[in-house]
Amino acid sequence: MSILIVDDDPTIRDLTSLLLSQAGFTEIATADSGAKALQILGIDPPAPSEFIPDVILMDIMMPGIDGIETCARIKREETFADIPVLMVTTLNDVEHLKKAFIAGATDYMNKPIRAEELLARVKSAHRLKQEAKRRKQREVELERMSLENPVAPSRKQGMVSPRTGLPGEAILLGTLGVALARARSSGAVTLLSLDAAESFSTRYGEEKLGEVMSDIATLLCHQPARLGDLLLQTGPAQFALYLPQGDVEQAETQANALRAAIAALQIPHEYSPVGPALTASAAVLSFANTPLSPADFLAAAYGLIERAQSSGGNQILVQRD
Amino acid sequence: MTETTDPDFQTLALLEKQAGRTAVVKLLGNHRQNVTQTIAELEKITGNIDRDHIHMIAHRMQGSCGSLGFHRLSALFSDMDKAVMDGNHEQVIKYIQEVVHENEILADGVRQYYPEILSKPESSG
Repeated sequence: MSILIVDDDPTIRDLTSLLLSQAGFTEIATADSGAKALQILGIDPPAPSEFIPDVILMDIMMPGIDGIETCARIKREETFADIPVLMVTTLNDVEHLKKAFIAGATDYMNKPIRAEELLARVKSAHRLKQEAKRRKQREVELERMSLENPVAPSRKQGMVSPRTGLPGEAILLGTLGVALARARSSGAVTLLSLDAAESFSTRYGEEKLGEVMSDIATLLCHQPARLGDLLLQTGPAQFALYLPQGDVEQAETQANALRAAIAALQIPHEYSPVGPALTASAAVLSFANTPLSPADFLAAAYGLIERAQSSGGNQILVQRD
Repeated sequence: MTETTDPDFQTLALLEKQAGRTAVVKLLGNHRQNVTQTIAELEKITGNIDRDHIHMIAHRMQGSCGSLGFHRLSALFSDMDKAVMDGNHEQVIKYIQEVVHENEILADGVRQYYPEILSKPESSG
């Protein structure tokens, strides 16, 4: 994996390079300014790229072109649009972070740099990149399928979950695509994911996980919902709720109720680090006026749920805009 | 291997375990040079305070000192940053003096735990 570190502080560049190289990352390039980063990437001045990173670590406050503007300029280039940019900052104010996310940043972490957090975030950003790539390919495939055959059978992978009969990830992508194409899109998506599902599957078997998902799907189908809300299954242990016109507060309240309903089933999970029974985490994201593509939005949602689960599980994380 | 209970040097001791002494000595040596130059620059400030310039310096040093585990120095730069953003120039000058003092204490620690770095006097270049 190749990484570009952009920071005006030589200590941060040295420390970050050292920590990453110790963790086995061998291709590391550094830039001491936004201008230097744009030069390395061949954006300004336009030239063949010296280095195409898998992940970019970007300081926000730098003299000259700051990290937010540098990020925006990188993201405008098609070659680099999918490269995750992880903002690294001492700044805590929401406005800077909001601007960074609007500029296309994937995630952020605070200085002082902590080795464990750095490595976890870099790996997670890289996974998101891979995920986004996979989803983009699927989006293209879906578009091709719908053009070739508007009534194509929905058994194609990702269209319908064979076990629960719920629409799958491809439907969510398509639905989001339509919503985001509108001038003023609004709504929210909730991902609801069973905690420690892999260890559940190891302990009780995939068949049992399928049964449990089927039971939970039935439970979720009986929860109060508004007309237009859509329940989907987006993974072997994951549901999604598409809430057009819904806001994150409503979605959060609903996600809390759904998590409580799952916990109330008291499905034993001996291997769970969270508790003796199966629990779920949720990620709630607004897509109101998001500049992201459906695939990138979904990748961000997957990133958020991963963060909820890797930081203990049994919790909800909310990204408001 | 550096054994210390000094809170300022815990982070570096941990890093030394992972990356080895040579890497840490190089990292710390460069950082000390950077800090020395920055403090020399700050010490020249007497009357006119360039808000943006000091903000940039204090912000940068807060992050790098904190990342190496020098939390007292990092906190002083953070306070300096806040003072300059609040337009409190008197406080900025006071914090510069405190930074100079804290850095001297830190240099003693570096001499104790990493004598190879400070075998010659630190220079502002």
